Amino acid sequence: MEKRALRPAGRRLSAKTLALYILVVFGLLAVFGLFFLPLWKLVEVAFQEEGRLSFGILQEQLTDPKTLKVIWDTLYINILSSFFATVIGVVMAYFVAYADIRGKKLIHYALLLPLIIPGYIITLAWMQFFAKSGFVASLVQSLVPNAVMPDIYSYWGIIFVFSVTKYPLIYTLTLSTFRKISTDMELAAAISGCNKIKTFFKVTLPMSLSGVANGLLLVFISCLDNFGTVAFLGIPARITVLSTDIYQSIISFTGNGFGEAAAKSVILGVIGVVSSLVLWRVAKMFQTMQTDLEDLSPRFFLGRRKILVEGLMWLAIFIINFVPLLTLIVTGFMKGIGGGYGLDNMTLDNFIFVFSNDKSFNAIKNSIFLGISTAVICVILGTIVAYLMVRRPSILIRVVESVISVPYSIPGIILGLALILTWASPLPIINRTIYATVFMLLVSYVVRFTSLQIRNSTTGVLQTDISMEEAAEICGATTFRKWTSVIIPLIFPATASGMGLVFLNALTELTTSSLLWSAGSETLGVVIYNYTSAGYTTSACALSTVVCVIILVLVLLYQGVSAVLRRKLGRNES
Amino acid sequence: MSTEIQNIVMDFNGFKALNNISLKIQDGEFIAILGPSGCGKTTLLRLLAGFNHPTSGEIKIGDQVVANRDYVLPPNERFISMVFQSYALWPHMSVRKNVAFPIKNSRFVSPEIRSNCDRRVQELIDMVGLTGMEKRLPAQLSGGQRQRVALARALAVNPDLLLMDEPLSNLDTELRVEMRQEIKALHQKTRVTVVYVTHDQSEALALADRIVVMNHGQIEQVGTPQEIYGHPETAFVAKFVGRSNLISGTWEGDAFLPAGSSARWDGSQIAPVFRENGQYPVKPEHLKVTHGGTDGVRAEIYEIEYQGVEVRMMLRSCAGQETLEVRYRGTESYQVGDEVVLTL
Repeated sequence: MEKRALRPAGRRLSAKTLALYILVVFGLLAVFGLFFLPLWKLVEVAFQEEGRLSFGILQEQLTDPKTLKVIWDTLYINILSSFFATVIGVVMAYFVAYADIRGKKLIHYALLLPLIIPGYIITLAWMQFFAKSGFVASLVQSLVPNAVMPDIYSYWGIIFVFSVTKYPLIYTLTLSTFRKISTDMELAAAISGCNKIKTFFKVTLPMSLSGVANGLLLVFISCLDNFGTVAFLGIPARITVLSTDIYQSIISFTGNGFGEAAAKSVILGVIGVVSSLVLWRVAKMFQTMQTDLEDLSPRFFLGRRKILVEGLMWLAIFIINFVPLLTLIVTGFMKGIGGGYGLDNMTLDNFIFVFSNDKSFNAIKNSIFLGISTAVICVILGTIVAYLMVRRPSILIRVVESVISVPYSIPGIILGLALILTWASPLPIINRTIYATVFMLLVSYVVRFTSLQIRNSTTGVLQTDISMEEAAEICGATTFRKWTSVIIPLIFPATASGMGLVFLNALTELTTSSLLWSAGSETLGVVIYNYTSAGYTTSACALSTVVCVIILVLVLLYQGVSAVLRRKLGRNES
Repeated sequence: MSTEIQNIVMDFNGFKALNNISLKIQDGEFIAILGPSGCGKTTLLRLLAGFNHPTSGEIKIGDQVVANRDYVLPPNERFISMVFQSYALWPHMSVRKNVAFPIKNSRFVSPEIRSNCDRRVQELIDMVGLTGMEKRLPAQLSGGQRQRVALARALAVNPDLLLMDEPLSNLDTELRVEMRQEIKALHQKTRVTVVYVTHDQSEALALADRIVVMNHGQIEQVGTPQEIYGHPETAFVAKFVGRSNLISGTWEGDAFLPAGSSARWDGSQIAPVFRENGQYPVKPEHLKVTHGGTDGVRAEIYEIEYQGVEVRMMLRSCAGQETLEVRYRGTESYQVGDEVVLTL
């Protein structure tokens, strides 16, 4: 056989390797341009006055009592929300992990509902729940005349909605930590003379603190990132937090709006980074030895109180997760607010409107297009990065991954501003701009959600032993065949769930879209937000109901596909 | 087709995993590479497969150079196959699809095998005794059955060279002996050239035509199982294969005089390296234990372990305080602390 079949081992330059190098360089430039440059621009705007480095704008902001009030409100709301979310999450996790309650799986999924329904839709639902002349109000008033519903457009309203939408973050992390605490540890405490309560406070809780701290960090960051809830509830009540403040600075177009917004973004970013570092340290401090295996068997038996506990849990889930959504759906069918809840006030007009109105129909089309194209681009980009990270680890790929992960971990409003600053001016060479088109939104979603896909694809690649690939090579498969016959089928489950998540996130994105949308490129989130703030409550509710149905279909589809896959593959090869 | 490894060096950031390895493998031969973990045996196998490329040296399969310091031929362009330690069966493919994969993808497979793919696959599945399980997925098979699928897949294309990476290490003891027999039978039937990596000397001794003992990235000795076991050429081989005791003493020509004794042991078969070091290798089962006398090595028992068929004794020699191991099959009973004399 002749020599040409030999592949260079990296010491001699051939045309093929040269092409590869050029590809790598272009790829790196693209990654840095897309993911890093916008944030650099933002910092530049925040720290530059008349072309020179300056802390002027930042200083101005930090001495302005209005901004200080905003920072204080942000911290106040976030800390209290994190606290209450933690209480709900830990209690629920404790019972689901350890008690012998029935229907655990169902309870588990019901508890996760706020993770898949976008926060602003849940907020809209609670707005209907607490509406002055709403269904719940009339129900309460028929029992207690002259009863007044609490005002949801308030600090406590925001804290309440945050608590009931963010607790799943604490719940999931604590649940797996609880399950990983070895039963023997608790038995050892019992043997040493501890009762149930003492065991919980002396053993279980200290060992789960790292999980709780990690969850707390996620809740805090997620509240900082939030725009929908605080915009829906805070703006009418003149309560401003950093994300809404930045939003208002950008859209006000007065004075140095972008400069101010950039400076505030830096403040928001710093708060995010500092709180992450602190909580990360705390979580590390509490890191304890645990078994890696999750123990799913119940650890305490409620006996006769079982029905009571089950009843209370379902009641809580029902009130927190289902009643507001039902109110939302009912409102979507109403002719007019205040017209009563009889069948005579019910209509399909809102839904007909939602599908016939240019804005909302555009939004449905755009969001589905954006969801699909974002998911496709992210799955390709994310899987390539994930594969290289696992199989060809190098400093370069670690840097690339870190750069890509930043836009996902910073608040969306900061990313939105950064993208405006970068993309508003025409692109070089082609001298045109995609700003104010649907492609601007596509870029922003790809920049934001690629990191999410990388995480899921990484799980997929890690679960696939390298010998699977080596076996394919040994059996004569070319690189192409290796990917199509072995790698893609094997990483499919994890990759597909990543794709589903990206689709869901892109479909319902509000924060960056609220800054980047324009006439013709409306998205679902933007139109629901606009309807709500303009007072078209019934239309907003109808459109939200449509979104919930899309999400439900997607989730059922996902469950169906993964059930089929599980059955097809049988047990995992161990 | 013979395989030739010449002066291979494998350097991982300053750590020499392979240090100047040369080896010639004849067509149809069964070679076992034996050594402790970290000795470089798996690295050598992966070089033959084409997963890694050597720092220097050359590998030739037939007339073709497949790897040297500048070039490496990728695995899919070599006519080889491999049985992995983890079997590496693709969990999403049935037994039949796993076995058919190399036939459909290898560019070297003979036209008659390729055009009769289905028949060939069935033939292999029958050969490894999995008839009736063609449609099962790997997850629905036991460990031994997965091993058989891996074997069938590796043999499907009739490769120039079959690599096996500790293929039996994931099986329990009984199954391991059974599969050892089957591998041996399959080799005799197919006469495929095999390079078999293992750390288990009984596998190497049972299966191989020749054994290559490796340690610290170097070849210690190459030889038939009888040569390796019976006539070790280095201290490492003596200790690793057969757990030989190295008794110190002085050499007078072909005669060995153990330290502190009047015995003269015949050493005409002992390799030069032991003569130079004043040592004499003896296997634990070749030492006899007696009470008293002066014609042997005097030693004190410090540990006794009853093992059914024999008694394993650990002793300390009185002359040099060396640790010695004896497998005693006699009927006399000994106690810890007894002083005994060891003879050949």
